[in-house]
Amino acid sequence: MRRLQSLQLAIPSQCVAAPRPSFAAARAISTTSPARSKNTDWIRGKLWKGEAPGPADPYTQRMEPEAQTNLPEEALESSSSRSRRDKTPAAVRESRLALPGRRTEVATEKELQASDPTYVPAADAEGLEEIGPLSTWWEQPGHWGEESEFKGFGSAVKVMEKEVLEVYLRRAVVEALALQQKGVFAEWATKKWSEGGSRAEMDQALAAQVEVQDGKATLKGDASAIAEALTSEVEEVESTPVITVEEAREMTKSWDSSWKNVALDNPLRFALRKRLYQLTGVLIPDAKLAAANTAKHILTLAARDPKPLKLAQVLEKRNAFGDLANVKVHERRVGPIDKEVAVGRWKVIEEELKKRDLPVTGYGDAPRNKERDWLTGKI
Amino acid sequence: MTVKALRAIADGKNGLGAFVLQCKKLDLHYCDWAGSSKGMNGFIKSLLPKFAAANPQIEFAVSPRPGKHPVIVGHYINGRTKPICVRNLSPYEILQKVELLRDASGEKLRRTNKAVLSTKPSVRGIWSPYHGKGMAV
Amino acid sequence: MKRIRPSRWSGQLLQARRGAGIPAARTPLCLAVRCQSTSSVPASDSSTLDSSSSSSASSPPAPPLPAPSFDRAPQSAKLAALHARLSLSKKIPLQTLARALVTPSADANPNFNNANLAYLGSTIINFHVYEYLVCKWPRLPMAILYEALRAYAGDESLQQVARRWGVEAAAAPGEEVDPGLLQWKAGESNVVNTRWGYIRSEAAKGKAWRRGLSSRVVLDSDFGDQVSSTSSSGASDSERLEYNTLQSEAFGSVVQAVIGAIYTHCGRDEAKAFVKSHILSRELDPSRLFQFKLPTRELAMLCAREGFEPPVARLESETGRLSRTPVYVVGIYSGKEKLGEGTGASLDVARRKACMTSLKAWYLYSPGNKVRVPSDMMEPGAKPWTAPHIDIGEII
Repeated sequence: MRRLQSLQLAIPSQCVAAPRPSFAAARAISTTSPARSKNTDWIRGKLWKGEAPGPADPYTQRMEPEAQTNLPEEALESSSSRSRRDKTPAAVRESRLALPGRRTEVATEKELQASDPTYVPAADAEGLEEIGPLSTWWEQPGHWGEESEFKGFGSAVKVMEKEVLEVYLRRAVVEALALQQKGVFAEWATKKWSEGGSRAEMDQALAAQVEVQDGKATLKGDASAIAEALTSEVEEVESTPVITVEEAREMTKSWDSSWKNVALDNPLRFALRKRLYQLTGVLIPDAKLAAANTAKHILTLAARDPKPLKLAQVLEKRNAFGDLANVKVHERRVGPIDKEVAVGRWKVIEEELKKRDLPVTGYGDAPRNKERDWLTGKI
Repeated sequence: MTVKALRAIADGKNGLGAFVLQCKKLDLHYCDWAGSSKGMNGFIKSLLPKFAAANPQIEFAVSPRPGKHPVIVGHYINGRTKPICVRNLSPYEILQKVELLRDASGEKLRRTNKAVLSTKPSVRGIWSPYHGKGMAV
Repeated sequence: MKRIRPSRWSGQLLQARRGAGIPAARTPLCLAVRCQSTSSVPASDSSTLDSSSSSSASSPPAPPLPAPSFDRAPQSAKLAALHARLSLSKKIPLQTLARALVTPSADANPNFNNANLAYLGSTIINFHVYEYLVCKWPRLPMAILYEALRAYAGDESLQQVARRWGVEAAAAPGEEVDPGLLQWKAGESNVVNTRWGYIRSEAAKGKAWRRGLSSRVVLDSDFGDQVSSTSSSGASDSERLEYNTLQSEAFGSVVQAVIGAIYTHCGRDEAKAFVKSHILSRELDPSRLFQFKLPTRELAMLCAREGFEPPVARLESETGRLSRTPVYVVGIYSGKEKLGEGTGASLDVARRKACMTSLKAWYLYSPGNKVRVPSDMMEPGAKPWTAPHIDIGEII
């Protein structure tokens, strides 16, 4: 697709609200030539017996539509400025994304010459900018960058190890208790806590001691600093610190396990779940959350083994056919190529195809089966 | 040289001397996703290890076939195959099908009218009209 | 039976074999033809193997192996199933079974193909079949005996055995192929590996020279076939040998190699039991093998030799002599003893048929189904040997 560079300068780069082209310009695009109308004058005279109504060529010359409305003047003003001229949906109009431009129609050569006597029509494609087709619009640089990608609330990296989860859960518990001590828990339970990306913040939270007496937990440590770090509005760029499993194991060993017996009420339960999701990406289902009465329960719910999806993986995990030499478990579908390889014919086929310059797999340059697309309605 | 020899090949009699199981390979295809494979997946997980250990002379090939009904294909020594679709069957029903495939000879199913088929000539011999006392008509 | 020298092979068969490209330590045994003629033995191809292996060692990208590596044998389900299907002993490793499936046409290196095992196996098969045939039908003429041996232990028969074991051939041998498939390809000049005989220097004299049965016994291979010299079976061999022959040879070598492997790993008795259950259990009616040219004269000579009264043909019964389909029943009598009986549509045919029946009755004498063979004496605690009936020979 090419367009004139000079014209591109004239047209705003965000061609969302391109002005509607004049009717005269539209005429030049029409396939019927205006010269033909002269040949039809005689039949018009015969038909109408005198002055014929309407334009000589109804296909190229359109009548100016006469808007007949009872609306007041100002309503007409506002509607004509936007809705009639521009039919783009509001979502598209207000989008932050760089959307592809609309098709524009340029003035004809004759009109340009009439307005600008120095105009010389281009004879070659020199100076034309080359832009890609519409199908590759989003692959082009600047159209879909990192800023346009979805960023979820939960951590993108899912934590699977139980020890690491325990460390994060402890952190969540400490932070929730700190907010409670500061008395801002009710306010901040529904807000987004700061992501706590730095290692220092994490160590600060983990350094605090939790003492549990009959399910009632008290925090010993710098609660105000923790709460401050949580409620600060500073935009962090650091990602969540990665703890190794060994590190987490040592940490969990150093704590007294009684902190996990902290009793949870509903707000605390939801806060812990939310924080855990934010830190680890593990989301406890609603249905199971109601059964969690202590932090220990939360941990068991969160630290579930990921369900193996494939039967072959299950068999491998169980070592079901470990000592049986006559069983072969395939991970993938056994396709025609696999079968040919197993009997040794594939190398022969490959060699013969290469000898004839044919593609070994796929269709090569030949188009795909078009009839199938017709049947499925793709074309 | 008065006697000349003709060429011949001795006929194999399976089961006379050594017995070779006619089912040589079983292909078990399943799908990880589809519900019709539920029983098949259970069979492969729970019953197949025992069955395969009990039948070491059969080669088992377990492979997924996504988006298709589960199928068991028996390959036989005579070159024929016997596929059975086991969609929506329970593991124990599938076990029955697998045993059927194992015990099959691979031949096409035929109606048998005689209880015994023998390649040996009759011990008593065929009745001949030219021997004996003859028959009074 | 020609010599068996297992001690020459067993050490090499038992040694661990890993990786390709090891130069042939010894000259391959495939060149088993003893040359009586003055023409020299063609140089073995071990020198070419040496040179090719040394060149492959120097260049980094190793060329693909001609047959699957034995390291992959334990992973092959096909191989394990075949092992179990044949009820082989645990002493026989899967690697050996994999090696039994590699023919010299796929991998010429005798350290990795089944040529040596197959030769060992063929001698064991032929020995057991031969002693069984000789003891079971002691009067079989030599020509019939050769064909009976071929019917049991020939390549076509062994191919059937291999196919009934479920052995399948690979489409093209190569490294990536399942080790449980037979590796062979047609078109390669196969070195004859299962034959042992003398090259006849007289064969060069042309077709006018006639091979007698006695010379076949002395000079030729186990089946009484002429062993062609390797020099003549060079380029023309691949053209002469047809696809089917090569195929049956390849499949037959599997059976032979498996029996050779059983002998090597498990010993004599196991090998004999295996031959008995898989090869001798096959059904062969030896009366189908006879083709008579002059049965009446032969019967007369037999009676003269054995001191019987000369045979007389008598019409025993007839029907429809003037009809379109007459039937005559003719009996052959020697004195008062009836030797045989035949029916035919004419008197002459009936007489000839009766003679054939009488001759077959003589030739197919059998001491019974439970004959003892010489190898039975090798079992511990065997009963003392009683010599079987030995016939004085066939009628000339």
